Amino acid sequence: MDKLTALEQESIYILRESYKKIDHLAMLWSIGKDSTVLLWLTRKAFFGAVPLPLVHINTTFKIPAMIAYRDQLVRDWRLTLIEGRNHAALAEGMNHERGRLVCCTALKSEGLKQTVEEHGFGGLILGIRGDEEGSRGKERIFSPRNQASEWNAKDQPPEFWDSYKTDFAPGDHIRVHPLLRWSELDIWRYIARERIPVIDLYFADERGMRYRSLGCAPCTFPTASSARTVEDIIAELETTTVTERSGRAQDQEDSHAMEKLRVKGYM
Amino acid sequence: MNSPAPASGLASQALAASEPAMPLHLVIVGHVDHGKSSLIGRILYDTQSVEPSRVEKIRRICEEQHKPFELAFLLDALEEEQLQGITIDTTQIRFHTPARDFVIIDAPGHKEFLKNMISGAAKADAAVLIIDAREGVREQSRRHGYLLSLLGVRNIVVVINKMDLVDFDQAAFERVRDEYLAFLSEIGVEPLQVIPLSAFTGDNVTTRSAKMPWYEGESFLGSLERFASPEKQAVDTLRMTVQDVYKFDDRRIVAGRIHSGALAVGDTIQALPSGHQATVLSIETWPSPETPITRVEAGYNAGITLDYQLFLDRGHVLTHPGQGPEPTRYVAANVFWMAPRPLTLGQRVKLKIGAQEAVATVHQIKRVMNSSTMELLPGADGVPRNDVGEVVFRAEQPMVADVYGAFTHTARLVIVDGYDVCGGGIVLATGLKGLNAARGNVQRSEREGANGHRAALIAFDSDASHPRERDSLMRQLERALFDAGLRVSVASAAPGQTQASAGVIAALLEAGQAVLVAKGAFPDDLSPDLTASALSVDLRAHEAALPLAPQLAQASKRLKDALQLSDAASDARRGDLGASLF
Repeated sequence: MDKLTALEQESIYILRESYKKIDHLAMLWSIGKDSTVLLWLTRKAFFGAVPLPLVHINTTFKIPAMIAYRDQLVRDWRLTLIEGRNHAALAEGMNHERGRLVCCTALKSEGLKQTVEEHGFGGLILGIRGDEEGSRGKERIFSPRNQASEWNAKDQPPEFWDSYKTDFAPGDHIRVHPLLRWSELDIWRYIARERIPVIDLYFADERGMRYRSLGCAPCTFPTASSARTVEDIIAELETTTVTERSGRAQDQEDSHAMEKLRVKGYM
Repeated sequence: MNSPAPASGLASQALAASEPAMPLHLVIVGHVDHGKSSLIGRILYDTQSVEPSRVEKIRRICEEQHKPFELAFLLDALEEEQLQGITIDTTQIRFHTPARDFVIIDAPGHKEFLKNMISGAAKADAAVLIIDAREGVREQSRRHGYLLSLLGVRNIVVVINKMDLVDFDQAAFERVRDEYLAFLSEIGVEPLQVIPLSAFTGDNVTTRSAKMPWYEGESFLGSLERFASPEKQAVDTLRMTVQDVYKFDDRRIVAGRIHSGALAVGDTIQALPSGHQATVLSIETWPSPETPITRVEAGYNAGITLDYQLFLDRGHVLTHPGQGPEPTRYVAANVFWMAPRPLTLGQRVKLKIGAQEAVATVHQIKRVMNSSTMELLPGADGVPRNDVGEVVFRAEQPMVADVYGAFTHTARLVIVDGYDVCGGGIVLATGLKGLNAARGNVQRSEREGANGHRAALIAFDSDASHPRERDSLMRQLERALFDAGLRVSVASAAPGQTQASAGVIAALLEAGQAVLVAKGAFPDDLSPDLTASALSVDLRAHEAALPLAPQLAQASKRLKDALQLSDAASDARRGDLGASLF
């Protein structure tokens, strides 16, 4: 079995396992390449159906093209979309100028936490990958969160063979990471193989710039690239020495920025 | 935006030449501070597998913490890990040589984090056991070696690290090597290679070192490239575990993973434990392929429809008729335990075997071992944290389990206590027959020798019209046999129940006893061949020509003869009677 098929089959197994074992399950959709692949795998797992709601946490600072693309796909694939916002923080003017980590925590982590509470989700499926950044590499596929949505990185449940943690104390919920073992290159090769539609922001524009990772406009920057097709992107990634999240400003704030964010409930 | 086009859901076609093969997953384990993370850092650095910006970030963190540059931080990404200079949890990182792609799994060495080491190691195709040349074999070197064999990781290379600190001395290397090989052979592990190296200086890591001319083998990386690829399933007998059943439209799709063998449209399949049969009508995929898929094989998640809506649910195991294991409530396993409180006799837990889940009781603890020294812990009434034991579980409903070996997925169990995954194990035996065959500290044959006769199940029948009268006759026979020098017990139904406990019967047989059971009280969950091989005694107390006493004497003599140990005739009989008992 080739690598992409093996990864695909593992992810399908994880998706089906979480759907069966977790009540009130939702999928976080950030509109980026990873969560779009995740959506594709979901349709494979459930024979064309997407039997769970998609949650998009809107910071209101997203690159405008992302929202247009999101709404288009919701119509085309007949998806159920739940948009979450931290209304209180937005109302009192939260933005990145107050500190990127402060802003991420308020608009993303808190926004997500409020949405989970509001809808009573018992589990969330996320498209994070272990190779994106060190603390994500330490994650479990089924990763429990306490009532405050906190991640206890120092004491995670054992996870071995095909068995995952599916029993929780009341109030705890679980994050499921079906793409944890995929690399950035695996994602693009899979997009090529399956011909999955992705947003144009990933391809080089007339200035010779493209996004490798998508986020909020003020904190996400494109990188120089001439890649205009999925195949070009694959060729670029095969030789690049630049990290994927180099265009994500919040990562650069502190040596352990992502871990600090994630312990508090960041994706 | 490019548009989606149908793609095949099941790559049952040949693999395209451009598709990358699955990388080799390699776990690095060993005692704390023997150099696991440093070796990984060295490989990544020497194969240029890390982006410069990541190295820069590590450099910055080391400066912030006033520490010398530490490549291990590439893996030990958690702040706590870097502050303390330890590995708390497992992580994975990729690297490749021109010959091959790898994923390295770093696993912690501290005993406190054993559950994390197990979480990492269980994903590996191959393992590297690392030992410090100065310190030699330590507690976790041995424990990790043993756990790898329990987890099913068979390809193993041993590296003796920090050779620079023993002046690249051959004798120092051989001392440690011989000590470790001796231990590994005790637990049946045979490493493919033992390599002296220094992760710190890079000697023998990616290329052969001139400082150890006495070593004739390959460099560490060279030996990794030669590791066999992940093995395919050794058997082609079908095992598909049902994960869920979907009804999103007019189709009723049974979804599950095929662990071994293959399934084709038109096949008759059998669902265990129920035994119901049905025919496969279709294999469903999305997006719909141009030509329907007619076969699906091991490694794939299948979705099938059936001609008969048999009551299938999550946890059922699909096989071809007659090719599945006998469903059983008794499962004996080699168990590793990770919870703070020991696993004790009588404890109620949840057993998971693939998608099956059942409440089970710890029915017997055959032996408990220190997982590092392999010493038996005599008199232990539980399996302590981080140790291992042979445990028999009695599930509250029949389970479908294979014995570990040719089958793996249906032969592994996970133990959940409360909300937590606390242990795992591999199945040694199933059913009462298997339990008796499973190794214990004292063999049943030894107990039989001490008792002076064979153990046997005896089905007692009489024409007594009332069960109480029949039981009274059986008790009299018990007395007669006991007076004749036999270790004998009656297994009767508990008050309010009609059947004797299969567990009690099994335990008594295991103790080398003759066990009397009234024919009407035979438990349903007793293995069929045990039932079939039972000796039978029929007392016709009320119509027989003989009065009761001579009848009892005759019956007990007959039984005693049948249970003789040394008599050649009974040995021959033992062959046919005892096949299922021993």
